[in-house]
Amino acid sequence: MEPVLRVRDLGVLVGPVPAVSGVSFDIAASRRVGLIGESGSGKTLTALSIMGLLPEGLSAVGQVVHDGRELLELSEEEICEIRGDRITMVFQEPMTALNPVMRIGDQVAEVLRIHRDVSRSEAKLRAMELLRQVRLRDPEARMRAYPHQLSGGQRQRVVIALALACDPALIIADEPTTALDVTVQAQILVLLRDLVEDHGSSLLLITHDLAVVASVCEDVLVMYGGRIIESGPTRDVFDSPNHPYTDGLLAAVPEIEAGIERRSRLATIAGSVPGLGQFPTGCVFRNRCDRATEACLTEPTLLPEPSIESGLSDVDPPRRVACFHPLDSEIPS
Amino acid sequence: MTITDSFDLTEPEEAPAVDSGGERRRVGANLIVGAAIVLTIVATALLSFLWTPFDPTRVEVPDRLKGMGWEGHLLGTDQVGHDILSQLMVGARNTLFVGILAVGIALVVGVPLGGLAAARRGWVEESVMRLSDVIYAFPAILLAILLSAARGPGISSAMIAIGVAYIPIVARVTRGASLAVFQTDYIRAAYSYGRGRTYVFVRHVLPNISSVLIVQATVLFALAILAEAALSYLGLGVQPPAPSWGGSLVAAQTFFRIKASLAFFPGLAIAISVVGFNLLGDGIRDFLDPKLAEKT
Amino acid sequence: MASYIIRRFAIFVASLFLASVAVFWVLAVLPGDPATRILGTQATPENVERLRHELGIDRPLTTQYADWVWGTVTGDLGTSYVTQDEITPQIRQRLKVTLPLAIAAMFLATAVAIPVGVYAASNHRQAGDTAVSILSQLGISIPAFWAGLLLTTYVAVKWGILPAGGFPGWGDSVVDSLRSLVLPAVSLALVQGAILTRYVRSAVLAVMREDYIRTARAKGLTRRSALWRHGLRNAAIPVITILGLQLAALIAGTVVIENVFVLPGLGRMLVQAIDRRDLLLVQSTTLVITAVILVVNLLVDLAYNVVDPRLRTR
Repeated sequence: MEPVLRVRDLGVLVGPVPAVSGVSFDIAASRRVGLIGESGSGKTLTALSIMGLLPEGLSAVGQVVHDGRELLELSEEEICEIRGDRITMVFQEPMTALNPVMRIGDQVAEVLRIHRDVSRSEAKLRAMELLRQVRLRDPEARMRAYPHQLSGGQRQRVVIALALACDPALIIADEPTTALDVTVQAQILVLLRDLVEDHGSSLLLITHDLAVVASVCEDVLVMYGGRIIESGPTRDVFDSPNHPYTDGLLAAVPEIEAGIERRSRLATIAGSVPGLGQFPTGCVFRNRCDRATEACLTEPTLLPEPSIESGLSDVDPPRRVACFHPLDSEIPS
Repeated sequence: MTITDSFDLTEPEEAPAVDSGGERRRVGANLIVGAAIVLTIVATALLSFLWTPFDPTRVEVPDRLKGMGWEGHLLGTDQVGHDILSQLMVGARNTLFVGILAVGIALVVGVPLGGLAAARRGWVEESVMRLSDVIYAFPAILLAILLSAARGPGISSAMIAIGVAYIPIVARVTRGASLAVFQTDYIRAAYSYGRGRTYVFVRHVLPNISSVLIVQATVLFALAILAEAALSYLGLGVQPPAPSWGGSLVAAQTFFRIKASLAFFPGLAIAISVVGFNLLGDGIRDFLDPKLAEKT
Repeated sequence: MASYIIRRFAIFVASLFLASVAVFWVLAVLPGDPATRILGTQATPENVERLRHELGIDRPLTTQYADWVWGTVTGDLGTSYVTQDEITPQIRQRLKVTLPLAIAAMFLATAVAIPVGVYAASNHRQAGDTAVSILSQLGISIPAFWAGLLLTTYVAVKWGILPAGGFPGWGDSVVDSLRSLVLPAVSLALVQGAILTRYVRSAVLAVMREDYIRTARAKGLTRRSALWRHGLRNAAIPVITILGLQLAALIAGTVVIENVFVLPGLGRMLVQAIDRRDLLLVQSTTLVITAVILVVNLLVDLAYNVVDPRLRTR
């Protein structure tokens, strides 16, 4: 069975400089995948290039295949048929994501009228139903409201409703809760996870928060310096990471046991994330890794290569790592 | 909220597509060309005090309405034989003079008003802004007409009228820019040392908003040039026989059937000056603070 | 919303009042004595005094002001000291030229600026945008009356397509009257159009960068559709504001243009009044013009608050 999304060797160029390169992964149907990385790791650019929404001056190369079609080669009309219908996106900033001069109901109904042959009233009914699904109280009133009359959390629910409206095959959510209050964050994540399951969609959840991935996503992709450096089922990767960076990330998360913070120094990874165009040659993590050797001057590839069978929704994907000295191998001398 | 509240009168420009994040100061083409034009005009005006190709006030009727290049008159002569180039050079003096004084008036009155509004907030701010809205309802030309009717037409009436007409713009821009600065923590710290609002405004706020004000001043200068030309054309600004660019166009109007090109050079001088100041303003803005373009 | 309307209207009335005081004060305090001016410096003091009494200018200032304002409200803007003609019918007559001119210019300018501005924004950083930028930069730099002069010289005189000046009057010939308004309106619209184009372009560009446009595209709208369906209504908000503010500039422009094309409008009357030192005429006409501007500002404010739903709930 075909994966919902097959990405091979995706690269994003900011002018001549590669911000993302060699990104390859599959997303199986009805599977929830987390894309983890710090800011500047290229996660948002990856998402935008799948949708074809890269800003001016940026370009994407590689292969992004959905439903047998190469997305990066589609014309604007063609990709517009897919956007909002088969692949949809939830953005980070709910406060500015909606048109301030248009009523909520009209904005939700719009996506239905773009992709489905429905009448105005049908679209309205369906929109109200969607607002109910995202658990907005009093959906009728919300339909007629304007965005500025809703809180951030409520607006994000509307955006999620937009993303679900056409029963997409894949929803890409880029840091959907980062801009929200802590108390609201958990609600929205639970909502997202439940609705994705109900609709049978796949989810690509982009975040920097490991705990979020742990609770929502079955699989995880770890990104650093514009490359995927580890991937696999979330539980396996988090229990025994293979890449030194992943290990460092996990060690840096403060552990809270039964509400009591562990009182030891947080582990840090020496150095800082390289800026655009400042990636070291070879392995991007080389300068901050205490396992680096001369071998690391050549760029490691993500192994094993993604293969064709990884499309089944109930089969865990294999573990992959891009490292010459992964943690499950000997420590180099 | 009224329309003038929301309306920032500086020309908004676009931000770069990708935030390069660079803090480098770029001397762009705008700045160079604009500065070149402005400096040329200033130099010409200054030069005119020392020397002009011909005596601009000398009437030589037999030589009237000659074409370009005739006997040393680079741009020809007008309907009474004045050398056009000399007239333009001296006219530049008046144009710059009016511009400097008008913008000066607008700044001297507008900046404190705007600062006061931003510092005090509340009903002081409200009244200052409403007052400036009332002034803004009088276009420069209308004010000049009013003053000319009262005091008689002349260059001083023009200057005062244009200056007063621009006070609201300066006040509004100052207030807008100052508001942001007044909210910063280090301003509050300054208050906590016991510094008064005036001191804080002059020492801390003004330097921070100076780039906005400088750009605004160049824009206003360009507008003042246009306003002065219109007033001189109507006979309300620089009084004949003193040469002025607008005034030269009056003559051109009467005689354009005979010599159409009379209208050409004074208008060109005006247009080039305005372009020069506008480019200078854009260039300064890009130089001082490229992000300023986003703030406006 | 209702309280806002009331407040705004109160501000309008207060502004009008302030403006009237300012106009009156400038013309009452600064100039010399109109009676002396009319009779000449050789006149006897008794004659001067008698004329002052006839004109009513020997009364206290506040009384004169009150009379004038009351007259304005009831439609009688006074009688000219100089020509002894009543002012109100003159103004009414002249408005029939100035208002159509201003409206025509505004209409032309807007009709050009909106499509061109949107076009420039859509072709951002490409040849089309650069061309528009250059042209509009030129447009805002040329004096409107110079444009008028040049147009007159070529279109009217050399080619004889349109009249070079004058105005036959609506009663005499509607077609010819319209024809004589074309060049003046175009001259004004050139400059106003250039200014407006730049603002439309900026407004659209700013909107294009907004997040909700990205959301619209993520829904499956093409760039163009997203801009049309979502962007324009948002861009309209600042553009409406500017339209309103441009009117003041436009009226100032008509004052000059009427003199270029010898149109019997308010502007021309004003300039002639200055020569004759016809103070009351200047006073009342200025008030009328200011009142028109204040009314337009009021209307735009109200419109603005209606168009932007964020402002409605107050």
